[in-house]
Amino acid sequence: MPRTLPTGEHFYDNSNFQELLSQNVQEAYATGLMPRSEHPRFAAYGSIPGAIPFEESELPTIIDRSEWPDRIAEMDRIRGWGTNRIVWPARNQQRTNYCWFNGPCLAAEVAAALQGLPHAEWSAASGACIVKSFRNQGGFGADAVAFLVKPGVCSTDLWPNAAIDRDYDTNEADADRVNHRVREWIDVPTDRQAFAAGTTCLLLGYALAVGYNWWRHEVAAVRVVQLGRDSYGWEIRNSWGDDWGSKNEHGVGGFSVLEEGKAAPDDCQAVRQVVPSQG
Amino acid sequence: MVRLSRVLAFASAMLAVAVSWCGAGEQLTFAPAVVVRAPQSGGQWSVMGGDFTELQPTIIESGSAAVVYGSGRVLVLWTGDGKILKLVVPLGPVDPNPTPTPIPVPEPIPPKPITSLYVLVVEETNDRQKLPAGQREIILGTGAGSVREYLEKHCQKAKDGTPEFRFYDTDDTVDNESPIWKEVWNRPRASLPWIVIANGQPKGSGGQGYEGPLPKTVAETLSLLRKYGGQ
Repeated sequence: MPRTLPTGEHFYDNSNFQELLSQNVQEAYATGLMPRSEHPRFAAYGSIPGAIPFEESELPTIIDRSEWPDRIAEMDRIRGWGTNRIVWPARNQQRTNYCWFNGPCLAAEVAAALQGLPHAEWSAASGACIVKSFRNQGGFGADAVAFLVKPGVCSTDLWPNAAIDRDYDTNEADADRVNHRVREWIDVPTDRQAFAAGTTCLLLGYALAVGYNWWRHEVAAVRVVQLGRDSYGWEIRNSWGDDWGSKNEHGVGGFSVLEEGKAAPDDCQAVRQVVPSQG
Repeated sequence: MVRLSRVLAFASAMLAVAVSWCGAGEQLTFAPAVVVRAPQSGGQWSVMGGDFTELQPTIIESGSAAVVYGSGRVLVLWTGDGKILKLVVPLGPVDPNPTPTPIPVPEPIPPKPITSLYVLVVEETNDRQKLPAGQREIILGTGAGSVREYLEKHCQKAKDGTPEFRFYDTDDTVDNESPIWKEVWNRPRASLPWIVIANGQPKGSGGQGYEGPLPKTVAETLSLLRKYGGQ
């Protein structure tokens, strides 16, 4: 059954994606993704230590496109993990260029919630500041996920999400990093199979950190939606605060839908498991 | 706690007699009756005749006493505040050599709802695609009537309010988890996906639980959970 977008829901495709770019130009919001092809070490797909390449992830196969309508309907029927269970406010990177760390943090938070772990906001700044030596610079999503595996980040209780400030780099913050780590993640291919591979991951309940070179921005994808006959998109959550985009049924914002042509990522990591912790 | 013998003594003192009264053209017959007093108000009364027929007492004094009518030996039960008081009252003419009749064992009081439910589901996330749709729904479903909805309502709450249930991968490590999760995690598992249900009490102190393969459907899983976690 094709999904009808609710009135007012933010939806972007090839006809209107410039609206997103103009938001960047107006500097209302910050971006900061660097194309993975420029990565000094991990430019090649499958080259990141610790990542599970998609084809080695023991997933039987990419779910065939002909099965998507039924699988999406199944997820909608059971209200499968996705937008509707995200009850916490949207992340806000403010004027930092740390979108490349916020996207993976949100994907990890969704994985933690799926595991039943207590919710904590993972501090993007507590990771990005270390990687970038406290400079406000763009970066690579793959670097962020690798950092989330080890040493991890602390919660925003100890280091605010957008604070580029050495005063927060404390022993207490360091000690909290073991409580916010990714254990297992899949490096999702970014070739012509990117959308299909990412859709397979989403239909299996894994949240995605997705980078878009056209937007120079990284967000998290949380759900597959059917937009019409053989037309699909991904629901994403941004890190531009709760007032951006659409709100879900819990009244928290930051959501919009990207049509397949714009949703196919240039960099994509599926966070499958985080390290269990009471922290 | 008021001892049963005191209740019996009081009941005997209040034993009424059968009364017959002839009025203008009609005869009213009162059955033998007795007033039985409970240790406190708020309990439940049930009365049975010798043939196990259920008799209807008249509750008085806000439930702290009951007038019991009948004939022969009558069993009076009062349950309240976790106590069961049992009393056999002779009413009216009683056979001096009655045939002993077994006293029915009262139904056990239903256990209090378990408020310390812990549930762990262990899966191989690599194999999620291979799971039957019903088990995928158990793991991923979040809507009304889902397993997660039940767990969120019924599981013990951690200090921060997080319900105590977990869905873990079989390769996870639980070094940073609380001791109870370490203990649950370390239980042997014969297959995957696997479910462990525990009420958080040690064995011998009311500990109950289940561990075994994850049922195939949401309905079967909810039925299993309700057995240990209440409705």
